[in-house]
Amino acid sequence: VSTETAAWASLPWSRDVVLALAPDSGSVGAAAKLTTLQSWTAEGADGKAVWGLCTGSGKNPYQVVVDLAGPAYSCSCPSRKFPCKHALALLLRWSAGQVPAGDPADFTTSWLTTRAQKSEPVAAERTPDPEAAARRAERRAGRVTAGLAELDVWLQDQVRTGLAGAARAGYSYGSATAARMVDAQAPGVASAVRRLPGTVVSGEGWAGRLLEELALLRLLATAHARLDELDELTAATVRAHVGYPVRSEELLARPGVRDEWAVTGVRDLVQERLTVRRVWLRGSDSGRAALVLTFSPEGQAPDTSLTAGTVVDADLHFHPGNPPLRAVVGERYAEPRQLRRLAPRTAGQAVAEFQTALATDPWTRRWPVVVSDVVPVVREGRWTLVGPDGALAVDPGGADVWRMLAVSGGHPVTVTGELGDRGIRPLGVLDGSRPMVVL
Amino acid sequence: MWDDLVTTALLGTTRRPFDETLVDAEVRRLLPAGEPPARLLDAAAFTSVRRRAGARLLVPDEPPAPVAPETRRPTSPAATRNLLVVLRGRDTELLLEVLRLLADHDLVVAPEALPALLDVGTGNRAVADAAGPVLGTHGRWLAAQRDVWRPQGSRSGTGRNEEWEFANLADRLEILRALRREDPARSRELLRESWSGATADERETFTDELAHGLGAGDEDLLERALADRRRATRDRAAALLARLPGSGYSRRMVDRVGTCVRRERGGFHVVPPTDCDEGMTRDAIVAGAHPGVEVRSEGVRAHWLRQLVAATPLRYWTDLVDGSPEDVLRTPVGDGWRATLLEAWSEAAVRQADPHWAAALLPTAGKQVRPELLSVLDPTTRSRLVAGLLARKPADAAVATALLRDCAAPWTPELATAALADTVSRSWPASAGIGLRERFDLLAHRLPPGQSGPLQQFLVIPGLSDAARATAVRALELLELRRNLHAELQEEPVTP
Repeated sequence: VSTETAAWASLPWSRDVVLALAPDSGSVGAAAKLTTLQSWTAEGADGKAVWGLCTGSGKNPYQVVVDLAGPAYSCSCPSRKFPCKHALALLLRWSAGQVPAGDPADFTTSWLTTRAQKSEPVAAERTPDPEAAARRAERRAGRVTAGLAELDVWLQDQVRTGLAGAARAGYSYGSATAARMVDAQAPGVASAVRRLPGTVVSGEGWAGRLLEELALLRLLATAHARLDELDELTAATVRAHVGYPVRSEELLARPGVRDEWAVTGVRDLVQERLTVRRVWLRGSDSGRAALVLTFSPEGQAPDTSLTAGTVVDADLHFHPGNPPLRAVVGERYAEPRQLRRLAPRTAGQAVAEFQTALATDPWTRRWPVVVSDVVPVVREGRWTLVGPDGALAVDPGGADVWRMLAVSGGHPVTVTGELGDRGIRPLGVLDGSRPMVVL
Repeated sequence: MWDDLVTTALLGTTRRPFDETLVDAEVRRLLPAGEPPARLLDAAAFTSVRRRAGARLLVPDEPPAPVAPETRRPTSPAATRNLLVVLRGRDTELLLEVLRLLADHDLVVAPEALPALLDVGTGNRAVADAAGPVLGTHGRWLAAQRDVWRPQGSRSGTGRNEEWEFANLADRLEILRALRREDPARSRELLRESWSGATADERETFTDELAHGLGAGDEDLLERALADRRRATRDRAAALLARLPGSGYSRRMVDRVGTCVRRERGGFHVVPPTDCDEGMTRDAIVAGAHPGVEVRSEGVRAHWLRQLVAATPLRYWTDLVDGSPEDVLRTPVGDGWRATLLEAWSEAAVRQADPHWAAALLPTAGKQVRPELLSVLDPTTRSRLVAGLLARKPADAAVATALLRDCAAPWTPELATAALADTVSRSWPASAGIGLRERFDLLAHRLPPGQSGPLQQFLVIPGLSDAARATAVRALELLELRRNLHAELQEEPVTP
């Protein structure tokens, strides 16, 4: 953590940043109710932590402490949510400037000290040993190569004996292969194989979709086998899909791209007891698209450093790849501000962007797009975005498409979202006058 | 082509050899050497990527006609956020209060909260009614875009016959209500035409609905309802007919009561009816103890008398003594019939929804107040009376709570003070059962949000159980939320 970030972090966070920490929407309501209740005492904040005592339903007031680095929460209430409503309410009060600066209260010190002691030695222990690292990388590459060779055999078996067998296997289809890919240290391939049963049971047209998935997997295995012949960036793309780890220290050492990054959408997916948060960004000056992925255990609040509908002035460090998309956030230069406007793009341009990405990375599933000057239309349950150059299919997924319709009111709006083969999955809508509405 | 690739893959290359001539020539040129299954997969990969990368935009559907500009201010982002919290909360009473507040401030709901509001309104009539004034042009436009929301966007019936004919009960009620306001004659015509074809449920609902905008023209419909097979329909019709002083029913009742209660020497002389004839039965007088009728200790003649008086227009009595309801109540009653008459008049005041009589009757009730009487009163009188009753410290907490329940929000400061004093001074059982929860629920929803001070004291009462404290904390949280909602709206800039 650089000193600038630390200084920035000591300022109270905005209300939206705090609200985004909530593990569920019920907590937001519960916390909002607690915020101005006259039940807070011994409150304080010192730039590293915020604390306070909250009178609840128990006999003794709850001791609430939030360590802003992390953030991490401690509260004496019996709730098993992280953060609990008391911690959220305390942060909301802090965000609203209702918590005075001060020295840590007695009840905060023991927990904060324990935390500090726990985190320090871990940092010291990680001295990189380049030779050992190289040996590890070589071993891993060997395992992956062997694993993907087996995968290729399995894939060919599927079309030799016929995909009809997949229908009989149903949900257990490919499970042994997936396990093998985990052993082979190819986690990207493993999750792709684990997604196959979903395709098998996806109803009408499943065989075609399954064939597509299997074909793309073989394409990946073939590409990996010829990694040495590929150019550096394409090779990096292949490695990323296979699931080679990339150390964030290495990424942060690469030059960053500073821009006013608009957070055009955030989407959470729970898979294998892990919440995967996809944060889509778009550079205001560069026009570049970016994806920040974070992972958190199910039930815990995901990373909230980037909030949908805000603009952050920051450095992004891109993972190597062609096209570059995934990135990590480096230095941040200012507090986020509200997103009200995005550079205009037509529906045709959005589709072209997706297809350009596909041309160099055929494993691309979705691409973040901005579509301007479109009217959302629903006819017999089919949603489209109608622009001057044509209509873009909408894949509603779980998005609140009716909210998108409400904001537009039949007038042209700007819609942000993930564009995939089935159309755009909307994530935000801008009507040009108000901040982005999250869908 | 693609379909052939899929069929081959589905059957397996061992059963159906991969015929490469079916693959597009351009793709075939790119295929690396290999076994047929490998070549099939490669061909599928290339074909699929080529297809995905070649997808085009669709032919546009006709966009909807755009919404007209909003003439009123939408809710601020903070107010919208709070409304969304309330909408998720499933607390109808709180939601109704918020919607009423928005309407009072001449605001409309911001677009992003409209879908959630219309969703709640779809299953909740009261919410739909309260949402009407705050939907704005955006809300009405949006409701028109979705079948399940459409009725909420156009809340005024057209009374067109075909609509009526094919409408379900809820829609018919909608049409009927609008017509009762705009074209009462037409509403009666519709009812007359469809009365015999209506189901028992519909007839009961329609009879109920006649209470709104009741007039002499409704008499023939009510007479038909009085002959209905269903008892609830008959009772309802009888109560409404008694509100029409000129109706045949009212005249029949006055004739009957005239022979039973005479004014003699400045008092009432009572001779209860000697039998219950067919005419009385037809007018919904119950001859004996029916199933579902409370068995009374009084004699059967008193039972008939009570029903007759309860069904007689109250105007009859004030005309008889040429004075106010209070004058009637002051008139001496002979032979110990006073209690029966008081009870009958109370029933009449409730059935005929007469606030003057209700106000006059309440002080006579002693300790046993009929909460139904309160519901007839106008809100100000009711608040004043209930505050007075609470000050006399009713022994039973449940009775006090029932009195409060009949006072709709917003409470007057006077009533709020009385309610708080009653709550804090009472010693609640340590178990904090449903009684305490119900009381706090009422306070949380109906106290003026700034007036929660004494409840804070409640928290520090020694010996309070954790459950009771938790109940109080929840009530305080809700009051706090309401205070925020009110405060936020006060801060809204006033339209010039």
